[in-house]
Amino acid sequence: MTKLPSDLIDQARAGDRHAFARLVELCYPRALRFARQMVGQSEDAEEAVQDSFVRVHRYLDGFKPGAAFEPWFFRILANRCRTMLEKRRRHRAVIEYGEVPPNAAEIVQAATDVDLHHAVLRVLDTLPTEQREAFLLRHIEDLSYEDMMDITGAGLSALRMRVKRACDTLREQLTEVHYDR
Amino acid sequence: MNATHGRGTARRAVFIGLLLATGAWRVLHAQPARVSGDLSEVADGRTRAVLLAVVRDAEANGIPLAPLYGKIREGTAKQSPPDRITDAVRALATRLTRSREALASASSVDEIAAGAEALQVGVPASALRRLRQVWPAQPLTVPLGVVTELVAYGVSASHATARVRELMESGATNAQLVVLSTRVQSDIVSGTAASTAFERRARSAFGVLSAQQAKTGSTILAIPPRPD
Amino acid sequence: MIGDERDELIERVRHTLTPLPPADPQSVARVLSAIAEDAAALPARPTVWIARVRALLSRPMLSLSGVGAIAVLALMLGYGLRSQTRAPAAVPELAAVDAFDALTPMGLRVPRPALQAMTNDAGAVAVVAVDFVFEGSGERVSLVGDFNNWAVDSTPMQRIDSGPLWSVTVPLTPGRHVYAFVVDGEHWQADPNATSAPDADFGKPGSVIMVPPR
Repeated sequence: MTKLPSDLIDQARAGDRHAFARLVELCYPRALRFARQMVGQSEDAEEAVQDSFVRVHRYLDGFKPGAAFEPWFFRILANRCRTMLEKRRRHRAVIEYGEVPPNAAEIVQAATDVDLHHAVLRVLDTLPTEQREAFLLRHIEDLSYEDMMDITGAGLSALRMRVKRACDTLREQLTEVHYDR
Repeated sequence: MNATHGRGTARRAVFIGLLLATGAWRVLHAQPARVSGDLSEVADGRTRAVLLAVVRDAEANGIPLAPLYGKIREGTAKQSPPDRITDAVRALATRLTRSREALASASSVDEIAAGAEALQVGVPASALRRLRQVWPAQPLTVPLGVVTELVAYGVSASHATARVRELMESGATNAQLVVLSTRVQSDIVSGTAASTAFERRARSAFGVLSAQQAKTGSTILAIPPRPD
Repeated sequence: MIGDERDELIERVRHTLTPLPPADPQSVARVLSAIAEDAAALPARPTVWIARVRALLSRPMLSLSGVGAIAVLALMLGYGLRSQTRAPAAVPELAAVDAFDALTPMGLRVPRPALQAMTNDAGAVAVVAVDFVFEGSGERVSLVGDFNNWAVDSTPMQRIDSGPLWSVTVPLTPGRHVYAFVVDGEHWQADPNATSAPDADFGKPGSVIMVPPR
């Protein structure tokens, strides 16, 4: 995350609206990145991010001085993303992905036609929510397992297993793709 | 259930009751404000059904829904006939699709909406694509708004998009583009023909950008010939 | 190795996923508007009262009469709390920027700097406070436009000194915005001193403002 100035959170907690607005600006890109990679669609991702910042503002009073802002923020954001996914799932036909993506060959084939980014997004989209979340928190957001336990409420073993399974799926689906990058 | 559990349960029930009574329940569970996503303001049931189908179709195609709901609210706020609202929303959905395709899927909702507005005034999709090429990562919301406005003033779409694109390529900022648009408007109000006012102000802007580039030692701009 | 660590392929995956999206000023402004709406909509959080009630409930041997008394007290508290509202969050303000060579709607150059901007580290404006002024008669006037979802009652204007002028300040993102004034909830009027907005969809009078970033 963009390194937040140490006193910015305190100023925002104290009611400094300018400080809060700065906080939003500094955190927004990273929040949007995570939300897009979790929920996929741009508009839903923006809504999840917006909801999260509203909650942050609403509950900032209760945020302990000196506590780490990042895990607290991602806990809120991850919850909003899960809620968004659940809401979407209830309104659409459910496609059961299971542990292994159903059309592995298609994904590999697609990866040879489009760039790696799209291929990665497709594989990510097939992962169970918990695995996708764990992978993104660990390897994209660079959070420690300790912070991840705080964010997700899951235990260390469960989190490591989720990350492992996500990595395994990515390796399995993307190994055959050769890129010059 | 033992006595301790019974007291705890009663205590929780009282606490919840107090939360309800104090209104704190509403505080803890209030939903954040968000873009309206329902059609309850559309009184006519048949129109609601038609609009719902348009929205669902758009959603399935990955089209941002906020502009569609905004158009619905605009139509109901303006007390327009149901058919007119339906036509407007359908047309907007089509424009949003074209805008998104032209600007690429990574565009924000506001950018896609701005592109749809530009398409509505006659700016071709190819022009949107060319603007995207100039600023592949920076939001195009402001340049698209400027082009839309210039066309509304009476500048031809081709003239407006070409010059705006050239200015962007020459390093013009969003602020400079907006100032350009405002000054063109002012000139038109004073009686100058739209295309003349725009060309004059665009050339002046090129001059400013050239001077800026000369200061920094960059390539001196040659003012492009006026497009057809 | 448990398999959750980074190897060459996971590093390549990271490389594709780590680029940050641009901070679209309009999206950020929407977040801030939503926060302002939320802050205005909620009553003051009764954290103090909840703490006191919790303290009362934690006492052992809570009697029925005690519960009844607390319920009455809670009803009174609830009434009091519901009548409290937070002041609407104002647009973040910075020191005024230099006067900008642009006319506000109504063609008035407002004496104090009309545009107050909020900047991030890169100097890009996220949202700009814009003054709207309307001249006319009526019991109430509101501002409506694409920035408030065309909600007729969400942005009421304030009368200036009991005269014919009404004003309101609204945070807008840089770019083109369409708006109108609505008098007494039903009469739509364009801004006579701004560019008219062609309303091909619904044929109502409207105006355009181009909001510059700084």
